[in-house]
Amino acid sequence: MKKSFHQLLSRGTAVIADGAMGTVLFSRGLKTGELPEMLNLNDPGLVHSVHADYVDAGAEIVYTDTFGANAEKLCGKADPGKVIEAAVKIALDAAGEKALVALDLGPTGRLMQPSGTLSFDEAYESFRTQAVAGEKAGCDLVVLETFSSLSELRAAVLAVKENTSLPVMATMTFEKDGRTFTGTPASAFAVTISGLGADAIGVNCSTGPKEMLPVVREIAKYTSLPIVVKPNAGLPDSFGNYDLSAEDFVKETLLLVKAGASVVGGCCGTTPDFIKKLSAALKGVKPGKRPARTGCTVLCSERKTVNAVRPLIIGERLNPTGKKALKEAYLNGDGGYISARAVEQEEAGADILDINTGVPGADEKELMTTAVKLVTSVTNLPISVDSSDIAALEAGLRNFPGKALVNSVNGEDASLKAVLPLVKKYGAAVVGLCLDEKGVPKDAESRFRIAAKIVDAALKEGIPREDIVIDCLTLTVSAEQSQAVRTLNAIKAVKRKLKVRTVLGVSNISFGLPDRDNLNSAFLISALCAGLDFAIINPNSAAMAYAFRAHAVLFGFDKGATEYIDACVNPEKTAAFGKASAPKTVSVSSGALSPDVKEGTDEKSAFTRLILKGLDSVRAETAALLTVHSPLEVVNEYLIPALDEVGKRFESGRLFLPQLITAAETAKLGFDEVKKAIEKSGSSAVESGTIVLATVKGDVHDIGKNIVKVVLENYGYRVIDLGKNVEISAVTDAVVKNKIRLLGLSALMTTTVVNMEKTIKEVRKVAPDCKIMVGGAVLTPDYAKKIGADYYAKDANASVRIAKEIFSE
Amino acid sequence: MKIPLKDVLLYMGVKGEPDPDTLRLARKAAEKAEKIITPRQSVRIFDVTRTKEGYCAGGVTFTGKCAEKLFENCSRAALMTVTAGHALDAEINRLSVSDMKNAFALDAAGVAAVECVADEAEETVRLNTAIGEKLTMRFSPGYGDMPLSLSRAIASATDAQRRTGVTVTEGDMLVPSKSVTAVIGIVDAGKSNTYARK
Repeated sequence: MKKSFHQLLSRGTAVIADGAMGTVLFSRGLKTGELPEMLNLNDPGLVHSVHADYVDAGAEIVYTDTFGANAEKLCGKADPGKVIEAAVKIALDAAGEKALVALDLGPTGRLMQPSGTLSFDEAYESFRTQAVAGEKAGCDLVVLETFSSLSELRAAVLAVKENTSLPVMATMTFEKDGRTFTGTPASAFAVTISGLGADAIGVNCSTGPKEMLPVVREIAKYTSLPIVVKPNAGLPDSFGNYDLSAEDFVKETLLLVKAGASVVGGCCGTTPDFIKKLSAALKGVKPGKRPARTGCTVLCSERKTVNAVRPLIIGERLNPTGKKALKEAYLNGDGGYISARAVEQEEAGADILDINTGVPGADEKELMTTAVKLVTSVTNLPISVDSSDIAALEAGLRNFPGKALVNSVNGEDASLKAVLPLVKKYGAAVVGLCLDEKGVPKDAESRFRIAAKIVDAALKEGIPREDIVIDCLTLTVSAEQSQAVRTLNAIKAVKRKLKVRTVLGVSNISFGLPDRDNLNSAFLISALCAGLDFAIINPNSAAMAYAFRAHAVLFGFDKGATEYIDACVNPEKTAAFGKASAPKTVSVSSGALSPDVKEGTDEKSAFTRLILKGLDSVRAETAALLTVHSPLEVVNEYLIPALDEVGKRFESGRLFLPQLITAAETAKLGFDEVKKAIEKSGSSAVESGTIVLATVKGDVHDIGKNIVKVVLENYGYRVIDLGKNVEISAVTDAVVKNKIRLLGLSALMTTTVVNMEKTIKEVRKVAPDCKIMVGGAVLTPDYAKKIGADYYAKDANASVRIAKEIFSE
Repeated sequence: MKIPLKDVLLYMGVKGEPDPDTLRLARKAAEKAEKIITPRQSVRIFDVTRTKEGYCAGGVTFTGKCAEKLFENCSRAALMTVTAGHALDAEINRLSVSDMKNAFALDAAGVAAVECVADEAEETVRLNTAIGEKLTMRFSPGYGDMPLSLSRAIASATDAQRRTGVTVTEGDMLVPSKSVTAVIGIVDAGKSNTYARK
């Protein structure tokens, strides 16, 4: 009887997988442009012969000829299910009792959102169809290979695990720089996919064995699963030939086995001859010993791995509690605002971003999905999914392409039962709050007891100790002064006795007291000294950033104080530090003056000059003007005329786009001052109107739209930015909900203008009075008219003219 | 890779002599792009066959007026997919949120960068020509009457996803955004071609 996949792996010696399918098929007559998968239906004998040759060569696992057997790549030529059924049958027949048959699934061929257009659900469905067909046809396992998007690979692993009982091997393709094309480092791949429950992980394709060695070593550091390697026979030339001989291939591949790889085969350019030699060389060879695990908490995003070997900052600003603007942005789908809060925290030095979408009356699950996608599209940071709503937690975990932190579970049995299985399933880490049915205990001992209960339950669930993070809870010192010390004592006990990491929401400590930053930073330092590992703070607060970084210097986490010095010397790199230090000064050397800026002497032209040159002193100037003029006067007589002057120069070709953007961003500083003055006086806001912007469905290039947004906003318009690749329904919803009078749509190519036309049609149906302006590289005034738009905006400045026309009516 | 400053300025839409601020912006963007791009090229050289519809190379069929001129006297042609990589897109994305001016400049530097990568790929083709053979200019889908939809076929013939990480959306857009697919005719020795490079 055939051994199972797990029996094969537990043998202790290297397992031989097959070599390339495509390479051999091409050498036996397949032509470029023809689909290898179609041969399963059209020439099964040919496919059978390749499998049979690999089995004869010693392969113990053969991959079916189904790498591209999905709807996207088969382009309607055949049904993926039928191709898979035939392919598995052929492979099973050729393998007999000698080899296992792995259903081979490659990427869909489309790139996942947000860079591409493929949604998680679409990807999942495609892989589900394939895996179910494979299991039905009798394959022994599934192999997911040649993936470069971690996000897509996650969808594939989940689809196989949730819909079949087959073991899964998952391998990605890494470049010489140790990352996949989409930027995923080997560590993030290993951490994420091991956590999802794959049975073996590894590397295939892309380079020869030698170049793969550092990647395999890195993977070995981050997983205890068996490692699979299938290198290419070197690199291809311009005629598709590979440069490594079978002998050299075997020699180099042995190094991978030494590094710990236990399933070994070949990818592009390898043939049965390679596998025969490999099999002979590896007979009875035991894979090299794997490095010991570090035992520290590791979190990651698609592009960044964060090891908790030192205290880390969790940014708390994406939590709508007490934040009106964020609440509104969540409700209006204003992705621009949410993205900006994420980037701001990353730039200020946050290591992890907490995402909480608890807005009363809103669908928290849906908001969480959107927020996670937005945050991952603009930052590289891992996230903490923060919710008490189980559906929202799962939505966050499902959509985050990395290893997240779940915030949180508590000592109540119901909470443990609902949250821990999710944490296990998605391979996340979890925050355990030291409270239960009876609330927050007032003494350190009881908090410790709850912590111990949580740790125990998590371990039983199969969550490793390093993924458990305990929150001993901060209570407000103004209400319960004795509690601060007890929290610190609980942290010490948890660290010492339970050997897990700790987390704390620091800012609560000062609630109800003046100058909160003073208390917050003092408590932060105290907690760090007690052993705090994750500090949930506002990284934009200069006091907190200073405290955190100073601690890192004093306790040796910041070697040579390089980070501290860097942040102090380059305040613009660290937003928080920048705010605390002196305002940025821009030298006004004569060389920086544009030759055509007339040196007017009156106050207004001086102000215009500041805007034109992009000088930060606009802020101070505006503040000064506000002491003698009303906010409305400052806007209408200074800010807008200055921007109009910039616009005029842009139109006439004396200024270019970079200067237009600079001027707009500078004017924003002035508008900020005006807003502050209005808030202080309590008078009504100076808002020129609300505009919705979107890059249409199917279009993923949105820089033009983003420029329009910056310029419009800095003219005082409120912009709801729906982002790129926007569903038609999302546009109509936003227009109706906010009673929008002006909508701006962008599309880059003729192929996506089609969706622009569809969007316009739908908007007309629900909001006939809303005016629509369109822009994009291929559009012209005539084309715009033809697809039903009201205005053609040839650039950002034109969009301002249109907005003025609409809102002055 | 050195990205020419004048190209960055060109793609920024700056005409004439740039002012010092703009020049600094462009230079900074070019330097940043040089640091973060992950240039990749996949070049394949195929025989060209005349078919009923037009010309075929590597399983890709080229029809229309441009194809007629491009493949004139060409027994072989090179197909290529090149890219400046995903990391550049990610950085432009991030900057679009926090610093539009630099996002815009980096976007322009990215266009200039991918042209450099395409030039390098063309060099790869040149290395594989025989004595006397000439190359035509580079032709990308979307030029002249060459349909945009050919991008997908060229990407597939060059195994672009596997070799370069470039994918094509259902709307025929290339992702990463700073990517190019192109075809170059290899003109037989001693023969002429309207599009031949000097």
